[in-house]
Formats: sequence, C-alpha cells, structure tokens
Amino acid sequence: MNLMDHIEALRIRAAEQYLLGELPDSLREEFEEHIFECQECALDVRAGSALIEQMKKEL
Amino acid sequence: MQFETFDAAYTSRLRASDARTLEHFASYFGELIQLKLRSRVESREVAEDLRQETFARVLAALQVEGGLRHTERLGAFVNSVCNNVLLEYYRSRRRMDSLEVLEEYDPIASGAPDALSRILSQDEVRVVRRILAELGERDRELLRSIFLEERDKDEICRELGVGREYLRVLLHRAKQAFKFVYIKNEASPRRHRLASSLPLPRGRNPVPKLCDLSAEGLGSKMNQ
Repeated sequence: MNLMDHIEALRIRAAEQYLLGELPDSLREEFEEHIFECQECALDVRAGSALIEQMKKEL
Repeated sequence: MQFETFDAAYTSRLRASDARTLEHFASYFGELIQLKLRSRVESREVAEDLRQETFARVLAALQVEGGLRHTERLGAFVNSVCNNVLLEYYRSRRRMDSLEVLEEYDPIASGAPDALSRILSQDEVRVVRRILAELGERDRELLRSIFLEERDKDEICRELGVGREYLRVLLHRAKQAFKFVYIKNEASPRRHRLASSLPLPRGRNPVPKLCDLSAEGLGSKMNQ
C-alpha cells in the first residue's frame, strides 16, 4: 500500500525535501514508494536532480 | 522519454525483450534507483552494482509465471526488489547498523555528478543559467553554500536570515522553471544511454541494447 498519496507529497513539498536530503527516514521511504508508482512525482524528482547537478556546475 | 502506462501490455513487452520498452524501463527506473541508492550506500560503484542486480532480478521475475501478479504495480515491485537487494547488501557487509551512518550521508552535496545522470541539452543548460542569473545574490549564495560547500543547512539559513522553508520554495520555483524544457527533451528520441547498461534477462537472449525566482514571500503563490 502506498502510504503517501500525491496530494500529501505536494503539500509537504516532499520532492524538494527529498532532493535536499531533509526527509526523515520513515517519510523518505514512503515518498520513495510513491515516486516508484507516481510518474508525476518521479518526473519532479528527476528534473530536480538534473537541475541541481547543473547548478552545481554553474555556481 | 514518454510517459508510459505500466500495465499488462508494458510487462509483456518487457518479457519479450522489446528493445524500446527495455530502454524506457532502464532509463526511467534507473534514475529512480540511482537516487534511492546514493543516499544509502557509500559509493557510486556499489550503487551501480545494486542497480544492476535489481534490474536482473526484476527481469528474471517477469519471466516466471506469477512473478508479478499486479502488472499495474510494476513500480512498487521494482522498489521492493531494490529494497531486498539493499538489505542483502547490508547483511553481506555485516552493516545493518550502517543506517545510522547513512543518516549523515548527503545525497546531493557529495562528490561528482553521477555517471548515469542524464547529460543535459544546450537549451536545458541555458535555462539553468537563466534561472541562476535571475536570482538575487543572496539566493545564489544560499544555493552555493548548500550544494557546493556542503555546510550545515540550519547554519547557512541563519546566516542569510532565511528559514528552511525558504530554501525549499527556492528550489521548487527553480525546478518549476526548469521542468518545461526538461519535459520537452524527455520526449525527444535521443535518450539511449541507459539501455546499454541493462543486464540481460536471465536465461534470455541478448537484447539490443520567468520572472523573479526569489522564494521570499511567494510560498502562497506556488503553482502546484
């Protein structure tokens, strides 16, 4: 069962917290379960990761 | 990369080693597994080994009758296989206590870019440069301190007089500004890099292989 739903993921800005390494263990696991099933959140995380990698080169 | 529906048809194509589907599978789940593992293992080499093992097990399971009962939950299945692979890795290294160590591992701030990261196109790079150019100096300093200097986030936010939520909103707005070009390029047929690293299904034949971006005070305007 997916414990974190899409609305909750958006509400807590889970993608941003995940990319910043800020999610507590339990929420991180819930969010990972979610992104493996939610293509919209998966896209958010993948795009965010690509953005950060490029920003690290540009900053 | 197009959005795909993970269903019986997709799974059947994977079982049949359809090249395009394997390519999509490797690229899509490869990035998610990579993100998941890099916060949990100590090196990119180990992460790559575990990613490969995860793919091998998923593809092998698909060849077995009843190996995946709910085809629409392929993503959840990949994640659970990855979790098992990770647990076995911890056990094999007698490192079940490593979870505490991993708490200190910063998935974003560490090391060079991942070898499997997507190479950005020129227009994507231009958008990132524009995003950074439109930021104020404080916001650039904030990002520099977080992503390059790997300093404590609370300390940085305190020094710059912003809260932790400000940082999330800043990243969110930058990501939203970047996503349109990222999505556009996802749909282009030029992404083939990960397919060659896909392990062969066991017992199968080889497969071919803006405006103001400042986050201050804009949280309520976020376009979710």
